[in-house]
Amino acid sequence: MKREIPILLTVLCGLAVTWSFFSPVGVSSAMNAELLDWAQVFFSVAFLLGIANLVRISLKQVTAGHADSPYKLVMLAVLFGYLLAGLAEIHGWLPAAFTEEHGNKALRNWGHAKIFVPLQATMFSLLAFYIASAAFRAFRARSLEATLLLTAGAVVMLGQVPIGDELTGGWASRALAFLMVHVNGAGQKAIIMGATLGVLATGLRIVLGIERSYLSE
Amino acid sequence: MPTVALGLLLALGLQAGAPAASEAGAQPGSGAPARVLAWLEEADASLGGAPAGDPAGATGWIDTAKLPTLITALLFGLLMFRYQRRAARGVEIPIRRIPGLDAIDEAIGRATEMGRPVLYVPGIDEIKEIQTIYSMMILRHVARKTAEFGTTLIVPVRDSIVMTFAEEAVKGGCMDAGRPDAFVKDNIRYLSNEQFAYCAGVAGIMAREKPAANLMLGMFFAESLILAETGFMSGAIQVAGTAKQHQLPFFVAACDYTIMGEEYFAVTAYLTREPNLLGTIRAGDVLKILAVALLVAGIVLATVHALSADPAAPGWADVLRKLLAAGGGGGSA
Repeated sequence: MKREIPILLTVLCGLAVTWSFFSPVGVSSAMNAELLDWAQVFFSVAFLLGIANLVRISLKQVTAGHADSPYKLVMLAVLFGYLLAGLAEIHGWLPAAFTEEHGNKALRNWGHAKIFVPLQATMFSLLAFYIASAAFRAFRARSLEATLLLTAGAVVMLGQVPIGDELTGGWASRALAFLMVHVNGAGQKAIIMGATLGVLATGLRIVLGIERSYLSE
Repeated sequence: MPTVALGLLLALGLQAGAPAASEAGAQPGSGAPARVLAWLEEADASLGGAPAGDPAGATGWIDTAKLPTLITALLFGLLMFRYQRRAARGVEIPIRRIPGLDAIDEAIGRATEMGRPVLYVPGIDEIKEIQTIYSMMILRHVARKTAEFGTTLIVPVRDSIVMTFAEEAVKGGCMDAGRPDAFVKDNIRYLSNEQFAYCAGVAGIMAREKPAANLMLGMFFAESLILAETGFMSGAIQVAGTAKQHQLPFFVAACDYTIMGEEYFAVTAYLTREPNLLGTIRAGDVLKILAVALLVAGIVLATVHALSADPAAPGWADVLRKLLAAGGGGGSA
């Protein structure tokens, strides 16, 4: 039963959501809304499982004196520090003067704006360097295909900047439009068509209970 | 209508690129195409579809805008069952060689020889994304292989629900291999719900634990290139797979093998050769042939109509477009 009940629930929920997709009125719509509410509850509860996993593994590494222990300690300190800051602000544990002066989200906002956002931007900015290094490898004319890629890449780059049209008398932007609309666009649509059929096949297999390999025994 | 409408879905491209008959300036006429178009409007209205331009006006029990999708899904289901039965009876369903899929086992073998772990990244989307669900199925296969070879498998996840699915998949894979003891719960690691924090965590694992094989299979966004380049610099053999077409160029540039688009959804069928799964691959191929036939028919009809004496009047291409554009351009959307 440990396996049958989840499969039965999957089939029932899948059919209900499919029904509401094709007939989004009355009972089906209400049922879909109810299921989405339940999903939200599950997501919220499951978040705690994630935190538990993170804390358990980190504490194990810290107590075992793992080489990553300092990083784990910082991570745990930030995790619980931010949680404490939030609780303190929500429940009014901070001095009234502080709250009056800075508002009741000051600590959380400060942590988010001054620590999290810059760190996130740092990670994202790495992309610029990685694009350059990946392009450097990919654009080596070692074969016919690689040469075509290099040529297309050069045309696209030229077509994107004003100097490209200046140098080529407007040819670069026309070639860019042709490549993007007729070559790139066609290729992307072909990939989307194939992927859509794959999605349909997988969805049907799961909703009908044929595919069960995502569950253990 | 069913035969035509069935094909697509796939006509999404045709729908997106082509204006509706009314937008294209077609005038009501008295020819056969005009009569068929009028009949289709009536049929749509009788099913409760909204008049054109008034999606909120639908009153019927079915959204006529989604009728072609429904018919396509039903046809696909029928084809799937037919080919599954044929495959189960022993009829061989050939499947072409896909180097990226062969490379998954090769990468696991390489990691085993080097005595280093395999890193499996299931993308960053939630479990409601079909690519993530499919990634869990592939993960089970990978877990079976690593358990057979006695290789460590590390699975960092971004979502806590995906974490529970990953635990189940790895546990299932270990049991399939007859090695339930190979399941190490601590190797399924929840890192963070935030995209770039998760990305930094995975990059850290690549840099510090030096996995010999990085398998990145699932739904990826802007972090794809950061992960793939970090993995490249760590010297790991890398196999990436996604149906997200915007991330494919990054994986192609930075990984050793890339599984793209529909190949991604063929992984389990290819690796296990199960009749049920092979049947779905064949059903997809048949539907693709239908889609291509429809596209060719649309091109021919539109060309013939454009060259006709009265290209402003409705033609058969407009009828085809109407059928594929679902229920007369109305529906409750």
